[in-house]
Formats: sequence, C-alpha cells, structure tokens
Amino acid sequence: MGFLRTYNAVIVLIAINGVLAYSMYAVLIAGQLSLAQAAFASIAAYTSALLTIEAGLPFPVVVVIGVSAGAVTALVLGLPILRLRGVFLAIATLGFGEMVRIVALNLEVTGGAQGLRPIPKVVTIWQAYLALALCAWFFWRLRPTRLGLGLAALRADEVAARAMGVDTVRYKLFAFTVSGAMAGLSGVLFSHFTRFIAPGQFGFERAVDALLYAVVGGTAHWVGPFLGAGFLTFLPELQRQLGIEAGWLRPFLNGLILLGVILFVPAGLSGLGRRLGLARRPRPAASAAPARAATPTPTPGSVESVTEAVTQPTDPGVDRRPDTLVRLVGVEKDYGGVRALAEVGLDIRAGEILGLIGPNGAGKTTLVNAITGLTPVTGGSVEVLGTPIRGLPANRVNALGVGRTFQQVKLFDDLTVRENAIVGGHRVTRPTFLRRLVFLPAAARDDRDNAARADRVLARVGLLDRADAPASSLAYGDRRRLEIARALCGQPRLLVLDEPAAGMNHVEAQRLGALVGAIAAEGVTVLLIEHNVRLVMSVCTRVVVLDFGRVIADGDPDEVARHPEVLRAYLGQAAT
Amino acid sequence: MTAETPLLEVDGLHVAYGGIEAVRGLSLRVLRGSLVTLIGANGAGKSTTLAAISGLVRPRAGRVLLDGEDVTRWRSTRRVAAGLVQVPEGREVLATMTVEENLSLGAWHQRAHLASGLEEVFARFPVLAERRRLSAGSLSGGEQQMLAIARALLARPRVLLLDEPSMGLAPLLVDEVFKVIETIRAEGTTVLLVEQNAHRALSAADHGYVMETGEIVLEGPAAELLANTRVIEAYLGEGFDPRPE
Amino acid sequence: MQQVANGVFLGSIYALFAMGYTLVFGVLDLLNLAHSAVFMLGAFIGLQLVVAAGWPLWAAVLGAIAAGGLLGVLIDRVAFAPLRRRADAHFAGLISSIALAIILGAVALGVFGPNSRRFPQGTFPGGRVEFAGASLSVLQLVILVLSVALMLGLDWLVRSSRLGRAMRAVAENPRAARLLGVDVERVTLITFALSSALGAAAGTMFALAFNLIRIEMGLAIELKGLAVIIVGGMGSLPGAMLGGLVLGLAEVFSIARIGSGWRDAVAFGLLFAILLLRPQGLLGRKAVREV
Repeated sequence: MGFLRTYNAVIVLIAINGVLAYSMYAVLIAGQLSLAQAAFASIAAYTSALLTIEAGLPFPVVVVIGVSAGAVTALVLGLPILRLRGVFLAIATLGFGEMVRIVALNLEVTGGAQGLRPIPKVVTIWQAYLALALCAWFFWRLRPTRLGLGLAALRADEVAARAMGVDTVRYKLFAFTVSGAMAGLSGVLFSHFTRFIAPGQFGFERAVDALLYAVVGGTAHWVGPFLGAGFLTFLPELQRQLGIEAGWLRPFLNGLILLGVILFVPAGLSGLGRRLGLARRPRPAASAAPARAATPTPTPGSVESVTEAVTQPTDPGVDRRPDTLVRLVGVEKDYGGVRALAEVGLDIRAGEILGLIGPNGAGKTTLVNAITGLTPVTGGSVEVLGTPIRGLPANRVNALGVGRTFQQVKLFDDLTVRENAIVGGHRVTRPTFLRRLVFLPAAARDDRDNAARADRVLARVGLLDRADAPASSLAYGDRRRLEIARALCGQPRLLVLDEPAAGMNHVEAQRLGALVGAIAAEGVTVLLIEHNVRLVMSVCTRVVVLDFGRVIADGDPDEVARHPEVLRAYLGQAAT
Repeated sequence: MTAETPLLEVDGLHVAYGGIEAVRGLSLRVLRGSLVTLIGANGAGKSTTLAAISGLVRPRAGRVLLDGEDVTRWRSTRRVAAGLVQVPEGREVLATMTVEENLSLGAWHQRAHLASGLEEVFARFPVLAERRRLSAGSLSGGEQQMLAIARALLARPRVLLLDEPSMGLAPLLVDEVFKVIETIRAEGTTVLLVEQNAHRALSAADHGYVMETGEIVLEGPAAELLANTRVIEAYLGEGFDPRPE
Repeated sequence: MQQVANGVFLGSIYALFAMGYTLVFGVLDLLNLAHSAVFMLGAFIGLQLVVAAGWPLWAAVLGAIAAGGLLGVLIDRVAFAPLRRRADAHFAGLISSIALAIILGAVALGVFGPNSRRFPQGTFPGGRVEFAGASLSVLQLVILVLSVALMLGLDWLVRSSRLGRAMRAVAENPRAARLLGVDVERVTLITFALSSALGAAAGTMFALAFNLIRIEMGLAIELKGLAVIIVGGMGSLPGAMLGGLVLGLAEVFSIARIGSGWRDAVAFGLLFAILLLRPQGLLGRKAVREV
C-alpha cells in the first residue's frame, strides 16, 4: 500500500488520461479525426467544479452532469460538422477547442486565467480506475456486435459500409457523442483530483495528448488507449526518477514516439501486442457447424441455399412482390458538362438475370450507382422496389433490398473474411450492442447466429476455410467472391454485380457464371455489368447495351449479339 | 532473330495491379518507324501494360527496353526525356489550365523547342490555335483528344504510346483522330497503339498483338489479324457470329 | 482609418503565413501542421542571426527565409515522403506533421530556452509615415510592403512560371503530370520548401512587428492561419490573401468593440461560420464534404 500512496498521483493520472484516451479512441475507430476532446473535458470540468463549489452537489451527481454536458456538447457540435471531410473536421474541432478555451478565459464565472480553486479533492484511485474500467468494458463489449462491426466497416470504407446498409451518419454521431461523454468523464475526474483547473490545461496541448495516447496505444485492440496513456503518463515520471529534468526533453520524446509510431508501427502498442500473439482478435462467434470442404463450384439445387429464403425477421414489410423491381424513366446524369447518362429508360423484372454491357465510358457504372443510391441523378426518375429513391442515401436503398459489389473491390480490409460477410448482413440483423453491454445471453446468441449465417454463405462461395483470415490477405479472385458473399448476406431482392469477372480467366469466369446462375435460381434478381461478353451471353436472360450514356439495345442475348449497333460499338465497323 | 533492334521492346512483363495479376509474361516488339497495335477486350491488361512501359507502375518481373537500353528501373520523368511519351486513356487534359499551358507542359523536357513546337502544333491543329487561351476543360471530347496528342508531340517523342484514343468519341471524330495518328507515323514517329476498337486499329497498323487476360494470345501482321475470326472470339466469345443473317 | 491600416498590416502577416498552408494543400492535398513550428523557428533564427552572428537586419531576414526553405525539405522527407504510398496517407500525414511540430518545438525550447525574447534596441529604424489619416511606423510599412511583395511573387510564380505550371499540373492530376515528364517528387519538395520559406518569413515579420518572440507563438498563429485558409478557401492563393485581410480587419475592429480578450474568438467565429455556410470558402474550389 505504501507504493500506492507514494505514486498515488501518477497512478490516478494514468487512469484519468486513460479515460481521455478512450474518448479519442471512440472517434478514431469510426475513422474520424476529432481534436475536440480536450474542449469537451474542459466544459465538463468547469461545469462539475462549479456545481461542487457553488451548489455543493454530491460527487456522483456531479459526475453524471459532467458526462452529460460532454455528451450533449458533442452531439450538438457533431450534427453540423460530421459531414466535413477528414482534414476539415480536424480543423473545425481544433477551432471549437480554441473557442472553448477563449470563453473559459474570458468569463468571470470560470475565473478567467486564474481558473477555479480549490475544488475539493474527491477522486480516489478506485474511483478513477472504476471509470477507466467502465470505458474499457464499453469497448470490449462493442467490438463483436453489429454496431461495433459497423463502425469498423465505416472506418475501413465509408462508401462500401453505406452500401451495405450501415447508417453512417448516425454511427458517426454515435461515436462522436460517446467521445464527448468519455472526455467529459475525464474532465470531471481531472478537476476533482488536481483541485485546480485553468483554461490552459485544456487547450491544444491537451487535445494533442489525447491523440498521442490513442495513437501510441493503438486502435487494434480495446486495451490500446490504456496502454498508450499508461506509457506516456509514466514516461515523464520515469524521467524524473532518473534525474532528467530538462523541460524540453519530455515534449521531444513524446514527439519522437508519436512520429516513430505513425511511421513504423501504425497499429500502436496494441497492434504490436497482437503481432506478438499476445492478444487474440475478438471473434464474433466461431461457427458451430464444422467447416465444409470448400467447394469452389456451388451446386445449384442442393439442400443449403446460398440465400436463405427462410425467415427473415426484419424484411421491411414488402409482402407483395412487385414484378418490376427497378424502373428507370428518362434518367439523365450530368457531370458538369459531361453527359454520362441520357434519357435512359429501363425496367428490371423480378427473376431475371439482366446483363448490362457497353464499351468503356458508356455509363454503366454511373447507371448502377444511380440505382443503388450512390449517385443522385440530375434528371428523370429511379424507382426501386416501388419506392422512388430520389434523395435517399445508399443505406436506405440497401434497406429496400438491394445488394451490390463494386468495380474496384471495396472490402473492409481491416476486418476478417467472416466479419466482412456479417457486415453485409446488416440490414437483416437486429441491434445487439445494448443487450450485450449487460451480458444478455439472447444478444450473444443473435451475434452467434449472424456469424453462423455468414459462415453458410461463405461456404457456398468456398471461403469458409479462410473465415478468420484478414480480408486483405485474400487472393484477387477470392476477394471478388467475398464481395459477392458479403452482398448476399443482406438477403437482397436485387443483387447488383459490377464487373465481378474482371481479371478472371475463362475457367474462373465460368465458375462465377455458375455461381450467378445458382443465386438467381433461388429467387434473387441479378443485374450484371460485365465486359466479358461471353460470360454475359451465357448467363443472362436479357441484355441491355449502353453506349454514350444511351440504351442502344435491349433484349434477348442472341438478338443483341447480332445487333449491328452493338457490334459497331464494340469492334468498330462491322468486320465484313 | 531480327536484324535491327526494336525501338521499343517489352520482355516477359509481369505486373500485379490492384491485387490482380494484370499482365502475365507479356512480350512485344515495336520496330523503328512502325505502327504496332495492342488490342483486346476491356480488362485484358492493355492499359496496365502501357502504365508499366511509361513507368507509372513497377513490374514484378520483366524488362522494358528503349532502343536496346534497359529502362525498367527508370523513373517516368527520365523516360519522357528519352522520348518515350504516352497519351493516356481518357485524355487527362488539365482542365483548369489553358490549352496553351497544357501544350507548354508537354514540352517540359523540350524547353528549347517550345516555340517552334507550338508553331508546328498550331499549324497541324488549327482548332487548338483558335482556342489557345481557353481552358482545356471547355473543349469538346474530340478537341481534347487532339490536345492530348498535340501535347505529347511537343515532347518530341521517339516512341508515342496511345491508350485508347477513340474512347468515347463519335465515329466521325474517330476518323479524324486516326488520320492524325497515321500522319504522325508517316512522319517517322514510332507508334504503339492500344485500342478496344479492333477494326480501326488493325486497319491502321503494320503489326498487331491480341491480348486476353494478361497474355498475348495472337500476333502477326495486321492485315492477317483483320481477317482472323479468332480475334473476334477473343472479344466476344466462341460461337459468336458477327455476320449479318 | 487608422483601424483599417492596422487591420491591413496585421492581415498581411496572417496572409503570408496562411499562404504556406494553402500552397501545400492546393498542390499536394496535404495539411502540414508543422508549419507553425517553422513560423516560430523563423523568428528565432532571425533573432539569433542578428544577436549572435551580428548580421544586419536585412541579411538576417533572408537567412531566416533560407532556413525556412531547408526546414520545408526536412518536413517533406521526414513527415510526408515515407507515407506517400500508404492508403491512410492523409490521416497519417496529419499526425506525423503534428509529431514533427512537437519535436521542433522541443528542440527550440532546448536551444533557446523558455523565456521570451526581443530584438535589441536600435535593430530597426524609427520614424513614422502618415497618409490618408492613418499612420504606420516605417518598420510596419516595410513589413507590409515585403509581405505583399512575397505574396504577389508567389502568386506570379504559380500562375506564370514553368515551375508554377508544373505545380498546378501536380495539383490537378499527378498521374498526368508524371506522364508529361514532370518530376513529381521534385515538385513536391520545392512546394514544401517554398511553403516553409514563406512561413519563416511570416515569423520573422511577426517578430519584427511585435518585437516579442516566444516558443508559443507558433501555436497562437497556427489556428488563425487555419481560419484564414478556411475563410479564403483551401488551395486558393488569392483566397489566402483575401482571408488574411478579412481576418486582420475583423480582429482590429472587434478589439475596439468587444475588448481584446475576445480577439482570438473572432477567428474561430469566422471559421465556423464559413464551414457551416460556405465550406469551400470565399474563393475556394476543392471538395469539402464527404462523398
């Protein structure tokens, strides 16, 4: 106990800095760089200090109010600024931080530059570590859930995440608000431990501290922020013990460490730990079913279906199956002077495999982006499953029952193969985080079921044996298949495949064709964009040809193949 | 064994790009003064091949030789200075800069010849002379293609690489572009033309290579390839009959 | 009118500093947060050259600017070049430049000590100049003229010179620039060098103008510089000049209205207003929102 008493200050500070580090971690795992943590801490610190000094409220109440102050501020700030691109978000949050500091400096009630004192010292080691443990527990429970994976996906590739149905706007706001709450917690603890607060303590340097702790600790594992805060809080203490007093050495070392980490060990201390095998990657659930021998060729008509036509709890109330899944009327898309699509009219009917072909630059991907909500059209109307999608973000279009793959494979490379697939199932799964926070077994079961369902889809495309591998480690052909599996997990009514056979040789393309056929056989309508005309002709029930943004042919594959316009578009003048 | 050294030679090129093995063991030769075309369906790896020749991507294996000299390790800037110039796919004119500025950039390694080069180019492409002070972004597709070619000419290329110059252009404009290409070739510049429009390309070229999923599957004098149905198959699949009923 | 003169003077220094940011962002799409450290070091180096090496003022200013250029090279090589091929280059670049800023600040602290410094008496000429109802000291006028000259010089360079064309080409399309034979790596290096030279110049001017040189001065101006480029438009050189002017005038006029304690708040008020209402800034063109 003597040890604890001597180093009490450092030990408590490690915990407080740890909480601040977790607040930074919260936004980093959503792929946002926010430097407003110190400002949130400041607001909470002042609010709580004033309440204690002036109103004499008991500490637990003050904590709750402080945390709420941080959270609410973050929420209000986040609403307008989370739309901004990375660099601009960072600048906006920096600006906000300075603003808070200036306000604190100038208001009488906050004591101006002199700050507030004395604040009764209430925080003990146990309270500080309880707070730290709460934060750690929060993130520990988060990772394997639908929300946690969604955030990780958002960080890896925001556009792809949205196309899988993740409400990226809400998720980012959630992460931001959580960071505000935790920063607030660190602020309350800080003010009630150091007994004195001044605006200068919550300025740019503190914001950078938070960044330091989180980056050095690493975002690979939820223990990261604690490691980072611990190491960096302990370092100056160690210096002091060694008799190194130089004031410049501490920032110098901090800067050097941060630089070293970002250049050479970007995953931080926790990433190192994982590499050394010290921490295992959290798995959502090991699949209960034994891994089937991976068969690259799916056999249509076998017992296991690729798409589970069986029971879907959250199918958005579409009982009547419209015959026309997608209707485009007079669609136009202009990109500042370039007309990518001109008067495109097209129907996609239930049950068909529609091929979309056309020379390079014909507008195929633009059309597909219009259908899936990634790109708004500048004219005409697009109706998907009976709903006009004008103004709808991609995740809402996905919610209608549309799944897709991308021309340049957009996998979540930081996630495992299985995790990628699970995120694909976003729209048909229920939220589990809140329940898992309190260890409700039903939620864990839900997550396990989602994982099992993902495994079944992976088995169909022959990737089950690599379910735990990072997606980045897959060979190219496998990456394409994973993308398809991911889209299938969402149980789409319409599956859009954007050049899935690119780069494949004949054999691979043929297998892909068989897979597409199997998928369609189970009731999924498929829109297939491809350059591999041979593949399209063999698999599709109908073919549409685009050239210069216009439909030049639409019909039976054989007819289209003989269509003179089509031949001209592809080969130049007819080869007579 | 050819008696003379090809001006441009690619030997056993392997390029991995975006996770794909885009080019697998490709070899080709372009003799001095000839127009060679590399055709194939989209996704066959043609653009990646040109990117490797120009130094934009580093090959995993293989060599690129310019007039017998191994330039595989050279940076792009050096290759351009040596006369290996590419007109990229999609033209890639600098839209925010004027036509004249675009052209001046073409002469980056040929400062001494900038004035005379501009004169020549304006004579050849009067349309560009008319619009020299306008922003390149305001030009039509065909005009931009002319600009891109003119820009490359200002670099005084020994070997001119063209990546799908006909893309996105109406047939009449494609005619004009090919006329220009043929003129350039007639003046003695060696040309390697990558095209999706097989017919046009083979009609203009001396020699052709057909590419499919990263490999050369067919090569020979252009006239022979024109008549070869296997070429059609490479694009459109077996059993495909292009002849009208 | 005096206010206007003061505002223009202050704004010119802000603009000079901000141009460094915007140059790098415009050409390379990178935000270099070590720029503030260069500002501070420029001031200190200028001071040292006068005090310790006994150089005349004009030589010291040139020396500081040259040192700034070298620092720019250092920043590129250490903080940004190693990250160029990484997928998270922008994000990591922000962090590595912050790290380098911390390191440079620590070095300055170690070498120059924590105390604030001043130029010795008699370093600059005295006297004032009167015109149109306002008066500026000779020094202020010289600084104003120099700053404007540097800014106009840079603008001319980018718009009319061969190097400037190359920079604009790299800014718009690095791949196309490469195919034209432009040495993109060298252009990048030169861009950083120019940007930091300007930053050091701004620091020296600032030090001369207010005769107070502190380690913290970099931080104080960093955020204002960011506000200037946001208001003017990221990536736009004329925008930085305009933004600097706007901020300088706004600050000077607000001190009169609401007191000097809130003067720094003006910058952030403007920053936020623009980010929410017109995110691309007054003259900017780059995309600011998410896809």
